[in-house]
Amino acid sequence: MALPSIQSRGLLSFLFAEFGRFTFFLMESVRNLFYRKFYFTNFIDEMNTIGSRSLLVLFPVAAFIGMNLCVEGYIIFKKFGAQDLVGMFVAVANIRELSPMIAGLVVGAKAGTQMAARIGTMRIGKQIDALEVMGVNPYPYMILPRILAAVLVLPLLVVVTYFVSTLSAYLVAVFQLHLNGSAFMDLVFSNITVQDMLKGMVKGSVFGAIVTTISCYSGYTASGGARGVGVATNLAVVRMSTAIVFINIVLTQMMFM
Amino acid sequence: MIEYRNVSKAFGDLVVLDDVSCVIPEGKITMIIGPSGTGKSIFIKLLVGLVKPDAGEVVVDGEVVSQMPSGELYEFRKKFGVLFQNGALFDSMTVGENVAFPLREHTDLPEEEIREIVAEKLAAVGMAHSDCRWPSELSGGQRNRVGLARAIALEPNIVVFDEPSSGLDPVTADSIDNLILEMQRRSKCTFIVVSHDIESTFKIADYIGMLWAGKLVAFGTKEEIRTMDNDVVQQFFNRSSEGPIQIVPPVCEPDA
Repeated sequence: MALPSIQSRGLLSFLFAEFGRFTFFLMESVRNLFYRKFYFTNFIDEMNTIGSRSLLVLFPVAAFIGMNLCVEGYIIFKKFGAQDLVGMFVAVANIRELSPMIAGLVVGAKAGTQMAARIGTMRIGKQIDALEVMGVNPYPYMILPRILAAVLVLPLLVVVTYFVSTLSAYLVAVFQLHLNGSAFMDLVFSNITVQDMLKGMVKGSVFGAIVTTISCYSGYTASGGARGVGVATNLAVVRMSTAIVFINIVLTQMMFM
Repeated sequence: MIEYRNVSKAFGDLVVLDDVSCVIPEGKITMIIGPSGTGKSIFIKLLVGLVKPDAGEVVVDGEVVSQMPSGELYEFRKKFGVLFQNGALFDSMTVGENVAFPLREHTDLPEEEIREIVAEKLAAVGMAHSDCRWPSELSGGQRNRVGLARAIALEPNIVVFDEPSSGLDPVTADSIDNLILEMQRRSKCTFIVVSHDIESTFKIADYIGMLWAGKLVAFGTKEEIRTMDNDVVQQFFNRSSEGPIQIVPPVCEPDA
């Protein structure tokens, strides 16, 4: 179904119209969760795309973040003579906050932009219109498999990020900062519970839903030729990264306060 | 039967269709012609329910398209085969997969049979043995041919073409015209072709409707329209820049 068009040029009206269009898109996506047909092949393809595309970037980013976190923590804690406590700082900052956010942002940058560009190109090239006139509902066919795949894959990527960033922090702590390795790991495990890790994975799922919904929406509403696809991709990145950072605050308040 | 009843559509201040009424004859080729930006594509989108009219209604086989709920609309669209400009082929699928797509979606046919139908449809449009090629490897004319094969894969009752020869060289455009003509004569289905190609219009049309400034200024058989004493129609057919038709800004469509 075509989304309502934006007909007003005023900023406020534009924002209201955009909000309305996004709400409509979201509602259509949710409504089609119970569609008579589930495109399982598309779902598996998307899981593969999101996982494989993001993993190669996620490894170095997670490693660098872990290293940096350890060094920064060391600098701060050393002022109080408590540099041995850096493991606690790494654990809390990493597992509760940074890992889910990093995984979300990397998936957004790699898979999300690809989704926005691909769906945008399909919109511009009338491929989505073609789908619709062939009696195929685009939401269950191309939107929902992407959202559901990200919701499932993101928590796994969050676990990978936990592992890689904590390991890299450990290596820096032991080999560069000459801290006691077993004390470092003791602090990591004593300050993080399984529940914390699960909450981080839930955050990952939420970020997965946000990244893919925003990317698909940006592509789905693209207009104006090749330039429109570029704008849609750009908008997807801006919207999703802002949304991830904002929603992270909300989730942290809800889960850990 | 397809009937447009007092259909109006505007985007903001731009009136695209204004109180358009007509009955599209069954089992014939009807060409909807008119200068660029006069809402010819919207005429088609209203028919298949991609756009809703602001006023009036489009009725197909007794059903009002704009009143159908979303689920029903997807079922209803199976009656149609639509060839969009440049084919609108799915670029992530091969030619064969494109043509097989509606069959896999809407039938329970075994793969073997689907492959046979795909081969038959591709042969019918002069694209035999091209099922493993990618849309990016095809020329404009070839893309349209494959798009046509996909549009007729389910053997729909109504086939709609949006500017099928737009941007093609005269020889390829003529071959597409021949293909449309041949397929219609063979299937006896209702064909609706949107175009601004005058030569093509006179070659394949049984009926012609002319849109200008949001109005359906003429509708009738090819002979009636050819001899019609109407300044707009005559200016268009004479390819003249002097007359009531002036260059108009392009239509702002909702998702294009």
